Amino acid sequence: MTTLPKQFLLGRPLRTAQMGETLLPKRLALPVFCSDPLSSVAYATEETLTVFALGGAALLHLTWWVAAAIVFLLIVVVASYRQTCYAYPGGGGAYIVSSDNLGETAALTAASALLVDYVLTVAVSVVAGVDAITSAAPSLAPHTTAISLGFVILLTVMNLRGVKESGRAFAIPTYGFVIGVYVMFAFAAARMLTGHTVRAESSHWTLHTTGTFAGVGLMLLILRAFASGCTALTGVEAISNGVPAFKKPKSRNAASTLVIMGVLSLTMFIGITILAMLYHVHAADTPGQLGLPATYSVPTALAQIAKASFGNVTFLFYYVQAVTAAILILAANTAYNGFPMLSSILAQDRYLPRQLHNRGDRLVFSNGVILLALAASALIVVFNANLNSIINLYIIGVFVSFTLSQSGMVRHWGRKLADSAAGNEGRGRMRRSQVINATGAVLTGLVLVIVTISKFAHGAWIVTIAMPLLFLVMKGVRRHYRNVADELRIADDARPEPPSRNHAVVLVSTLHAPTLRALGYAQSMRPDTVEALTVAVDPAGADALREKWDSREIGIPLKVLESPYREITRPVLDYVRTLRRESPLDVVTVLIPEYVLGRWWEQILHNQSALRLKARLLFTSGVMVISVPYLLQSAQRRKARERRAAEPKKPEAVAEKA
Amino acid sequence: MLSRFSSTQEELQSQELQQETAAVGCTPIRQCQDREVVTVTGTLRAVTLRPRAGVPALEAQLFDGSAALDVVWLGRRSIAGIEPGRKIIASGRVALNRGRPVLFNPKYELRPVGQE
Repeated sequence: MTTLPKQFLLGRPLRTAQMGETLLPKRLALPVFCSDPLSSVAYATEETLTVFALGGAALLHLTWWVAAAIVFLLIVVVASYRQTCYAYPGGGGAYIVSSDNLGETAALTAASALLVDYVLTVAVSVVAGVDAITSAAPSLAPHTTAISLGFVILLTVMNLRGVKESGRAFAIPTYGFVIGVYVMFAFAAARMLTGHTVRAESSHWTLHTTGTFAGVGLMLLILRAFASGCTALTGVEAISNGVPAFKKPKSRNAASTLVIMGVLSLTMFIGITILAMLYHVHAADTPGQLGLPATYSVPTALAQIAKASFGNVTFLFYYVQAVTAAILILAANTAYNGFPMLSSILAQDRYLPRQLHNRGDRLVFSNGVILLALAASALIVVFNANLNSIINLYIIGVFVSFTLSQSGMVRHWGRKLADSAAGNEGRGRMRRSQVINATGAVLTGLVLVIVTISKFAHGAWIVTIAMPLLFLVMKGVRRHYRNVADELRIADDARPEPPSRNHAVVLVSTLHAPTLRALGYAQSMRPDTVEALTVAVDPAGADALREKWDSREIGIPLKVLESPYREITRPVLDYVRTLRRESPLDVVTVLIPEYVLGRWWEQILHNQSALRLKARLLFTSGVMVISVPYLLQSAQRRKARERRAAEPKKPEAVAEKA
Repeated sequence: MLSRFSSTQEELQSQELQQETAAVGCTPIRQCQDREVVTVTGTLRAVTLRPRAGVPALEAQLFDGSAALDVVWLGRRSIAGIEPGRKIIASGRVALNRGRPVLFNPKYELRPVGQE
């Protein structure tokens, strides 16, 4: 029934053997894995400027230093993750690296941090993109939540279709954004070289400070600006996580993609920051801080830069705005790649339900994709699609995982150095990698502390609760799976052991075709005893059955159970339990004749007590329940219908068969 | 009072049956020993109709709230009044058949159904 719409939305199911065809070449991997870090340059500069705006225009020159720090950090992180790509060609997310090198606790911490952050990435980028749309079309503003949810659904469907196709869909806006920004730089350079003095529209707006910052206060403000700017680093993890999705040579392609990503975001970030400073762009949380009326819609820093750079070439300005909105929404896709992959690894290690490891029709981890969509939607609804409140929960998880994964890599190289027989050259390379990773670990650890301190009061505490909670849940799931596995384990000398006797009990309500089939089937199993069982809910009916049984000479004993309270389930259960109590080494096979009908509403009219009984008998040990199906005409018609639906091209052949 | 609500339906039914056993003055089935002549009472929980081929016998299970006992009438395939749910008093010598007490061809007395 659901197959047709599903095929229409998601495409034809793929065979497992077609797996290789979903691998990504570099040009598609870049938009799939990097839309998040690339898109964050659209707001990283602005975030920094906004924080400094609290201290007034005099502090804006500090942006240079903060931007330099972020650039340095990004270089270190990219360099560190390049090492990871080579060391872990099977996908080296923070979870794998830390579980390999730092143990279970660190690994689960990284995993829970990442899971939380992936959900946040989806929520933040979708809401940010929708904000860009609603600021262009204010009439849509009341429906922000609905539009955001719509985009989440759209992304989910695209990702359920599979990585390769979503890569194609995402390539256009991603490359469009990169090109747009570079064209903007070219325009700006050309105009400045020809002697124009370009100023942003906000340059003459005066900043209203909320106080003067000096000493410790200034330090904290700088740190907060730095923490806000660090959003530029989110998503770097995705590449090292997704190494298996690359075409061969996987590690090399992944490492090169990482470098391309690093170069692109660095140049864009540096360029935008330089232009923002040259144009004297002013940005603030509220229009009030800029001396504007509260209802004034302040354009984003990027929009101001674009407007100033392009001057009267307005169509390019609109182009940049459009691709910015598009890439912001698509940035969520990075999470759509990371989350299902990570959750499938966690499921494989039994920290999450096994279903998350199943690949769906299109060879993607469909359950992970759906879970992510649900979690992100819940977040969007709870926070009412308000970007300012969601964004404060962001990036803590990223830096937790950065720090753990880099520390894990330091350990990894240390171990390799200790037990490798490589020559001087090999050892030198390892030592160099270790130094790079150590630098990364120290720096990201420092940033983690900064981010946590500066954002804790602004809402980050929610994350510090959610992460340990997830951690405990995963531990619990793992414990459950281990307990079950322990219980199911067999001894070394265990052999299949047949029960000493098998009693077959056929449940009978009236004497009709399904009953006869069940009785015949019971005899064919050659059990030690066969008997028919009926419950005398209505004594007259039971008498009639007994007479019919006798006159037809069925040849199988018929046991009539009393039912003082007119139930069916309990007398049968009691009887079966008595059999088991008297001879615990025997098994009882209960056969239930069942009608199979074609329509669900027909199903409601039948088999209800059989279903209830089956459910109860499941919890009785040593009792096997067998349904003996009897296909009624409506079921056979349905089968014919399904056969016709399955082979739409040859209707004549089906007609002949039927 | 509280125990009446908290106990299950089965327990209540067993209790009722045991009280009746005491009132009629019969032996509780649980206390029946092998080779002992006893008089027991209870309801017939299950009555089995055997096929015509083979040894004719009517087999029923008597439950008095303490334990169950099989009553078997050899040579007959059905007896009027011996049907599930019926209360009877049966007396005879207890035999053990695979661990379960059996009364073969007991003297029996049908007790009224419903009102007493």
